[in-house]
Amino acid sequence: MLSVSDAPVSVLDTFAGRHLIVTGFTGFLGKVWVGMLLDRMPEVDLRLTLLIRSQPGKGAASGRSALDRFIEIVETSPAFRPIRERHGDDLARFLDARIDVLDGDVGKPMCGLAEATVKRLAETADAVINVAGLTDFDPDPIASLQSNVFGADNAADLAAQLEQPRLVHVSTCFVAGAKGGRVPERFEPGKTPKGVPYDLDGEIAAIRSLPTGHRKKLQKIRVEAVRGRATALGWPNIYTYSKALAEALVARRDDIQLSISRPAIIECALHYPFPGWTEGMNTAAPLAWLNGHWWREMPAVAANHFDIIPVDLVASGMVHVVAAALRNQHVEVTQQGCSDINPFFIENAIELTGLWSRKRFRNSKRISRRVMRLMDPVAVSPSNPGLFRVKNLRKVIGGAKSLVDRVKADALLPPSLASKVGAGLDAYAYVASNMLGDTDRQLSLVEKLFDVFKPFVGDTDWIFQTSNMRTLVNQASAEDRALFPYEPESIDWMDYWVNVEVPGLERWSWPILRGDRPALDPKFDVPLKFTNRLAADGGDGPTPKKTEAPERRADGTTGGN
Amino acid sequence: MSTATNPPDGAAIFRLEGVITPRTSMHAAASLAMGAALLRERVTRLSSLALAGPLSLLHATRGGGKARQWAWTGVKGMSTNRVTFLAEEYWDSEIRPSIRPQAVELIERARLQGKRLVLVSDNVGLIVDHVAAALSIEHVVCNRLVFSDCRATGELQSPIVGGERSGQWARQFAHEHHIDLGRSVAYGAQASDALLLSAIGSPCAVGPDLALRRMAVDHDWPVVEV
Repeated sequence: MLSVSDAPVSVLDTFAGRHLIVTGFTGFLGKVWVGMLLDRMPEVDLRLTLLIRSQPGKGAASGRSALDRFIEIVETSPAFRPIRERHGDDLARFLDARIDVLDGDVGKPMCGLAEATVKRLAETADAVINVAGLTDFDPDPIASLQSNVFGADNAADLAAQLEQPRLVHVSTCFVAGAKGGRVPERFEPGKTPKGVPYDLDGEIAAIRSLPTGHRKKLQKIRVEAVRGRATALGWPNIYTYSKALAEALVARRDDIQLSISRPAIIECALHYPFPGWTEGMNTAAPLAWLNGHWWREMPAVAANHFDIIPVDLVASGMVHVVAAALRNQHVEVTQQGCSDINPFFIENAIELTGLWSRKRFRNSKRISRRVMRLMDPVAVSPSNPGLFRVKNLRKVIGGAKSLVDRVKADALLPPSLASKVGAGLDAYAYVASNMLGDTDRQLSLVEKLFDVFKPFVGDTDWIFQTSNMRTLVNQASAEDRALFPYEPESIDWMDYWVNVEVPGLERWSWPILRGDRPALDPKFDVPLKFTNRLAADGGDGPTPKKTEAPERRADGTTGGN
Repeated sequence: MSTATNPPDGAAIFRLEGVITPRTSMHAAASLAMGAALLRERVTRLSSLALAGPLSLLHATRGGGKARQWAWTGVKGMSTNRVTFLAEEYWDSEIRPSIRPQAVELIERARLQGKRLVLVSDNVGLIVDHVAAALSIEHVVCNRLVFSDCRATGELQSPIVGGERSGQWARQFAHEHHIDLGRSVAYGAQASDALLLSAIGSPCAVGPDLALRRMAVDHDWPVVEV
């Protein structure tokens, strides 16, 4: 465990004059971290080189350069709302002074940068911050290997080129796997969560030897094979397995100064960019969606910890981790979570989602909503989920559907009656059959969701220790702690869950579950004139001409990242 | 300068139930019990609450504390989060809309007269504190629920505040806060407030029930109709 030094250190001074290379900017945490850095220390002379993967065009659609993607995020992402508001018309000048965008891909050797560019970056860069990663729980293992495992190693290769070869790598607390209990901020090389030694190179070689190809069937075979392997070793899914392999890969290197930052379950922002903001589908979104709607019984172990942490706290925590690395006082592993200091439990999440529902639908005019708000969701034992388990419901729905499908007016009614009402009856049967089919599909999705999230709400109880993280934060001056607050102990869970988290999910994540897109902020009337100095100097980025604004849709939104 | 050398202040004491809102603490206890997570829990909690009615009559001569205590067993076992949430919901949906404009006017008048404002209620603090905050009343005398391990025990902290004990606490409160009851005004609505009103220099009945109305007439107390 770390000890607090006597004199407080200045985070602002530490960052002054520094140059950081950042991967994963386009992701949820990446945006918030970069946005927070720029927003909270506008006067500090800090330079960030963002490695953003350009997207090739598909068919008639044109591709998007790294710079296009950057500008689109700056212009439309809520993560940059505070910066846009702070700088207004001066935004391009402000960003020009601090940001360089390069076309980079962590999945490629040396992050896809040309040798000359690496050489140039190495002259000035102080650290590589690897926030990139594929956070789907069970993605195609090939993609996961590329992004999460090789991505980390490639970022480490880049870091190794720097004069001070510092790498801050963002991982996850859940690399602890099925071990459970108190999880220390420590790296245990070469051992699975079950404590069995494993061969890292052998694991990677095994994934590489899987059949390649884009056919769905092949992809399914790969996912099942690697998920099976991960589970057998003690990791709940491909994501945690790949992150654990990545940690092992970078931790065995002796040519870098490594800091691993492990957040728990990252959820909606507490304060930055504004309360409730989230992007995409986080862990709690589908679960809260089920409980916030008609699903009343949740197969979960009520007494287990549910270690969630708002994204801006993780971003703040990362600032302190990076600052320590820049001072050459790096900490090998820090964990950002709440379970050891301000625990939140599964039963709290379920109960508070029900209370949110009471509040949300109190004045609803729809009777169904008013009834629903009075029926609280409850946790039921995963091993004995009761009569209303999804399997049983699907059986009932399936039975009803096959019965309705057999309804044929000609066969059931006498010919005289069938000629009069037969067509109507058949039409009703057709509609009912479709509705039952839809319900079955939705139930199948629910079943899948329970399956995916079972490891996090049912199987294992984790308490992630965060003393290293808190010690780092306590080393900072009071002013810096106010700028980059990391205080999970002061979260009021009821207020956060009912007034911040679930409303945030409702606004930003649930539209995705319904197949919609949450609206982005409106674009600028005049496109941002960001010149991208580094690319202009001959880097790997796109030509520094002013980018054309992406085509605007009728609803005012543009394509996302 | 020490407060002992100052003349004692006058206070304006307002009973929540009947004066500020027609909602009773029994209604609050029933509403919160109805907020239990499961349907079967709601039925059993309400059943236990139903016993509080007869108990209230049985113990009317002994302060009604037992009945009040019994009424709040309806929240026993509920999480702190749930009780806090339901109390806020009750304040927002039941009490806030039912606050009487006449009561607000009386409070403002007392404030202008420089009196120290006191809100007294046999309801629980999780609800009454919202009322006090909304009406900017500085002192609250009410019951407090006991919580243990983030769960309500269904008990109230003693001493249990009730209408019949109002006279006792009023004297104690006056002593502790350097208040001259003779220069104070109190507003009550129920017969159970009679002891409180008797202990005060300027008592006033607001929308009183039949028994208090008779008493007000007998003692020549002013009556405000609502």
